[in-house]
Amino acid sequence: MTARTILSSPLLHFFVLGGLVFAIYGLVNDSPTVADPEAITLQPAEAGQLVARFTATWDRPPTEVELEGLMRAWALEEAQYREAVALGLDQDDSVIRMRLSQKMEFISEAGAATLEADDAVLQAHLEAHAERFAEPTKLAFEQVLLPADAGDADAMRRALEQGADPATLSRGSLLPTRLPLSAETAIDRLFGGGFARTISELAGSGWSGPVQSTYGHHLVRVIELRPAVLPPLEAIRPKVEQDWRSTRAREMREEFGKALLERYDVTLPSAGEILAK
Amino acid sequence: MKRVFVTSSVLTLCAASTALSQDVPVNPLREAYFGNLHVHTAWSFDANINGAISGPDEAYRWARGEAIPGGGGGPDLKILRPLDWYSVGDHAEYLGALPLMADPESPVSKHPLAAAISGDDATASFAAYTEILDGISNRRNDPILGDPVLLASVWEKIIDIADQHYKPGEFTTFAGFEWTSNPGWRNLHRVVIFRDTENVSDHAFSAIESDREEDLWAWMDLQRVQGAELLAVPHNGNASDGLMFPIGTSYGGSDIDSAYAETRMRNEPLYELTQIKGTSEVHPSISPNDEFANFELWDYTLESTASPPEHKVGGYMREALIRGMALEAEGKGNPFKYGFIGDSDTHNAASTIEENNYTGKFGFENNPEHRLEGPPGVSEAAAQQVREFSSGGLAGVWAESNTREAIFDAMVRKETFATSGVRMRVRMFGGYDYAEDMMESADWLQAAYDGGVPMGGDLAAAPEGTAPTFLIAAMKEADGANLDRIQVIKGWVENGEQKEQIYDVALSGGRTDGSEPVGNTVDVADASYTNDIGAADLTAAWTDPDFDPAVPAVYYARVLQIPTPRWSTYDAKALGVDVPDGLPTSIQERAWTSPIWYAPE
Repeated sequence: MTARTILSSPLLHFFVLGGLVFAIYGLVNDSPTVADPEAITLQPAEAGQLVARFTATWDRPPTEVELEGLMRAWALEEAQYREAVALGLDQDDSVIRMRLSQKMEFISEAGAATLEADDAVLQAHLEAHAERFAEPTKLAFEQVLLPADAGDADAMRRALEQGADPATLSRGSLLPTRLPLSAETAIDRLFGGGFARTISELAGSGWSGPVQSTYGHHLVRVIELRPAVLPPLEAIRPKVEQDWRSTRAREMREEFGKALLERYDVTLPSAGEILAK
Repeated sequence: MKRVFVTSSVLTLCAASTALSQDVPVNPLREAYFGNLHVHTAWSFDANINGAISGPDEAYRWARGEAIPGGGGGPDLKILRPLDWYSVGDHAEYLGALPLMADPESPVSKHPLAAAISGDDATASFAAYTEILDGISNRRNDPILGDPVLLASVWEKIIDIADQHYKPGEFTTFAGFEWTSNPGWRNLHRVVIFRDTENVSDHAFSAIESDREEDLWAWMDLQRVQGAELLAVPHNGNASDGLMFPIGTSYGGSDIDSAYAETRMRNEPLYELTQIKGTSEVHPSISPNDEFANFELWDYTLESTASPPEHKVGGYMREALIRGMALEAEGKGNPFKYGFIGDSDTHNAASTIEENNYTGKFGFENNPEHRLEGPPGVSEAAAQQVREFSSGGLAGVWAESNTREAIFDAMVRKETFATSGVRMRVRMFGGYDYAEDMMESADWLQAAYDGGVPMGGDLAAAPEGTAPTFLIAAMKEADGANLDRIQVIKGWVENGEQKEQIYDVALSGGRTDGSEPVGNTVDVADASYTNDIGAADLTAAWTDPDFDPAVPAVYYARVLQIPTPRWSTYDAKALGVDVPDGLPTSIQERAWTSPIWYAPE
């Protein structure tokens, strides 16, 4: 049984809880693994790791001089590391409290990584969170930005209907005269809020307008309107599965916290009384 | 906190991406795509210590418009208008290792500093933070946090998450990291991104391996030999004490010569001109005649004493742009031929570029009180540094499509612009035979490409008796504030002396004299403004009146917005207090185009 599988069993969490806390606490507070501080020995296997690390970075093994330098640096690091442990920065209780609480949080959601979902579960998730997976309404259109004084919009529209090139009629600007199929939100980011919705109502009516944007008045011809659609599960299964798993991780964390609190008789003073003091 | 790593089927995702890319709309005249590539999450050691709880997965969700946990006891974070692309660039040093301190299965949890870091005791956290940063600064690797096997596996997860959120044509992501070199608290940081995720390095190169920029570039060159395409973006020259654009010798000990210039430019085409830790276009002490130079400066090194750097020269882009041309004239190559982007440097997953939706750099700033009065437990000097944080910038990229390849390639050719966070768009072209009235027609862009070069490009030698004309068009952000003016900033070298001149080339409201300000409609108490002044768009076809064909020159455009409330003004309104002394109540947000260079043969 792997550690992951053990961790993924919610029932087991409660049995191991107490023991685990003390085991972790022991790791943090005692330093039984620190060897005789006088001896610093680099094992050949560990030296080999230094070589592998260097090789991975530079695509060649270190020279003898370089390896000697790496090993000396390692010894210095080791000495500093032991001193850091000896400093006892891990002795502060309030901090350890917080850290152990974070460990519990991790355990509570670790199981989500190994969860498997069948199609029915994912289909339900897809439907429950349609807004996350829906393909938005998309529009393709042409537009002509009218001169600042609006010009003769009717004459211009007639010219466009007779096949005039929009690019020769529009006033110069950074707005594209022809926009390929784009999401409503992307269109609004370009022309201002509400523009996509306004022109979507002009689909099928040829050159229309003037329509107002944040930059002025436009004549518009909608080329294509593709309504919003929720793709079938098989088309976006990996995305739905990933989203379902991260949602489950959050839920597991919350459920775990709730279950944990239920194991205790929690007594908290009244906030009003405390503040009144 | 997100600690669940999902190794999904990469093969399936790649197949899906390929199928999608056939539907990606392509515009050969290019569109502006806005995004950030300098984004830290709880997987960065300093972000984690300072209250971030959201990781890379949440970061991408945020950029697409979802609400994510903000930490710091504050509300969820949600962008008002989503971005086109986003790239998480966590610190390579101890990449992702700190959240693992809370993972009992991980050896990192046995680290003696784990307790202090995961805690909510600000003093202990800061002490641990300082100790780790000090270790990085002095290139001591931490044996547990810096374990290479661990770092490589976290790097793989970062790549997987970027792939999971990549939707060609709609939303682009990159695999990236930050190389965090700060010798003596002087900022030499670079963010590194890869063009695709099929050819990426097996780990993120950290400043612990080397803090010399020359070694980063050597490592990048090695990745290229192995098939990867990647680029680095340096940032915060303002915090480098003059080391970012070195004079004489680099920090790494190189002479600034043509070999150095070539290597530097091969690896880093862009410079990050503005971000949360301030703007490093120009400092008033270097360019005293630039009346708009005093913009969102952050005049500190990274030292915890909040000290201003002694050397301004070598830390700001404009001076270096011009010095680069002087070096080239001496036959030493131009090591500072940078295009521009703006970026964030958020340490809380959400880049919070929107001035009226600013939630701070670190998790513990996710509360307006902590932004204006200082996070709990920090000194008054540190609180002042927090108040002086800018809301961060944006990278605008003119690319054929919203895909990794198109955006990366636009960055390489420097067809990019920086903004202070607003989504105004600006284009600049330079050429010798542009018609004065060509921008009046909607098809001017094709003619502009055909007859010259876009921003980031080089002008060929001038035909006899001609001067270059620059076509510049700027549009305000949709639903945003109007524009004040377009300026062209010209730098050149005359008899070995560096010169600069600023021209107002388009003014809103019928003004003909740039010394006349656009006005200010900001109501400070109400934290609001109106668009009664300024223009929705501005254009200019400007021919350099002082052109000398024998003299190399560099030109870039700067577009100013009308004044709008600074984030601190919005926070002051929310808290019902006065804007703290010393902070501007309104700012003129702006955009900067990448330069166009002219060099006679």
